[in-house]
Amino acid sequence: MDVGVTDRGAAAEPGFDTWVGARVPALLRFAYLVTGSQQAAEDAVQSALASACEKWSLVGRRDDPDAYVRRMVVNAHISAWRRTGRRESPVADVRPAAAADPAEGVARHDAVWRLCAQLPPQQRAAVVLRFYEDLDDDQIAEILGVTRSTVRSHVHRALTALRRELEAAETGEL
Amino acid sequence: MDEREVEQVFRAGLEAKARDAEVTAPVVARARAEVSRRRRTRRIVGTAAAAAVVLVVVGTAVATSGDERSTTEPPVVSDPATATLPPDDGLRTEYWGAVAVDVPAEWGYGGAPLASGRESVACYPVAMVGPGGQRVEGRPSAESLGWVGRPIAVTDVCAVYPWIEHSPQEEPSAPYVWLGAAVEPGLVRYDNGFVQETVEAEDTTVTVGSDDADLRAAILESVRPGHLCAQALPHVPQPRVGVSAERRSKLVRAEVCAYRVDPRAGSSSFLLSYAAELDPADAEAAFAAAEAAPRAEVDCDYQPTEFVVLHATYNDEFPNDVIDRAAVFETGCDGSVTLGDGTVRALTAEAVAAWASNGIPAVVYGPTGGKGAMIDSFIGPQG
Repeated sequence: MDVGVTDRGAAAEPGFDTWVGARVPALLRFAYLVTGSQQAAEDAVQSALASACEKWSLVGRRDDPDAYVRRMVVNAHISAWRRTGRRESPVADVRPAAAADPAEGVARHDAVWRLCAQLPPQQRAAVVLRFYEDLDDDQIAEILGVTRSTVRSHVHRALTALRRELEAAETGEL
Repeated sequence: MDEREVEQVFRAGLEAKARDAEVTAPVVARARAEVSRRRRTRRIVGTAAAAAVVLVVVGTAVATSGDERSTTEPPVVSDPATATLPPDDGLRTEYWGAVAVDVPAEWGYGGAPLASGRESVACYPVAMVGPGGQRVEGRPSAESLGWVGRPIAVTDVCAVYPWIEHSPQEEPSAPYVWLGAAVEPGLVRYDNGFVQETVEAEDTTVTVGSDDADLRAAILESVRPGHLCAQALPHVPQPRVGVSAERRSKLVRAEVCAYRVDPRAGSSSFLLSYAAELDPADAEAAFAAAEAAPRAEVDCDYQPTEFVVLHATYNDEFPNDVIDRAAVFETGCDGSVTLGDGTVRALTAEAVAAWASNGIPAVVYGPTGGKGAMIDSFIGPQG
């Protein structure tokens, strides 16, 4: 009688160490933009890397493990967002619209961050993937598990909202 | 300000903000520690359970008395990853209660052992429904197609588990995953090289049978808490219309969630029996058809045993919220749909067709008495 206890996954598959060492900074920046806080970003990346490490025999076979892990990061954040009542997406360091800093660039950066903080997590992730990661509709749709039309809708609505905010700021309505 | 300029503001703003991230945080070390902790937990639980396994082996002598098959205790999946493995690369995710697992997308659906009096029966342990929800006809295809089995009688023809000696089930011909089956944790080895491995996870069991060790390992490693649909409900829910139907914008996500009375003794709640994401267009079609259906006129006094919730999430017209929408489909009696405004509509084939595909025809029973147009959408009447 075989009484051995299976211990599958005694160590990470070869290749995980090489991959992860080069990718952590980018993943943390991506997660920071998606989640809006350092703590949430670290939690999401940690969760994604733990899963990737255990499943590297599957994940590592992909042409682009990054996309896979970015999706894990987004899913981890959306799950956390749902568990905490959908409204606790952190808003870190958001200055009011009429910031004291006179520099137009800083004001515009603030407007971007303030808008991101208002977006539902999936839409926010779409925006980050488009304008920070420079991915196209197909790539974003694959990562988010949605259709291309949903991606386009997310991005278009975000652009419209940002334009409205910028124009309002310029005309002094904010 | 044109669109390119707005895009440029977006890029510059995100680029600037990304520089605020602390990128030296030791997340890799923490992830490794998390993986090690999971593995230690599995080993400890697996070893501690070994004594009990001996009793299980004795108690199930019929199933394991042969020299070629043996039962051992595999590691218990006690702390699966919270992040989901995306169901792509030919995989799909199946749900039962609180557990989720990835399986090959081409697998169909069938039965798994369920408790029936003092014994367990599987009705029937082959793929009876294909991955898209179509009936699988003919033995050759049914016996070669992998399948996901749940402890639900898909037919009134059953096989007793542990399998009767010299029965066809003693030589499995297709790989399978059973969710919530009435099977003890452990290994069963079959003469033809198939190995059946059952683990406990999320207060239920997950069983994988295959002659491919890598496939078994990959499937078991994907076992995790489910994230789609509520895992259990205390009663049939009241559907929601959301804060404002007028403010619904783009439908961003839709899901179909089937529930049935929790088969475990002492439970009176409803357990998630099936969950799947639904194409937004199909969800809209189902809502529209349900709203167009005639009002339900048959008032049945019955105790619901199963129902299906169609849930959709819309972006708010203002980009700072989401709006939920749900409808509850009851398939008992003549069938009905309760909408968010409280009206109860008759169950029609049009309102069902958009979501009663994939695993639904192997998981949900149809309206009693049979309804011709819906006969292929549900398990249907038996006997």
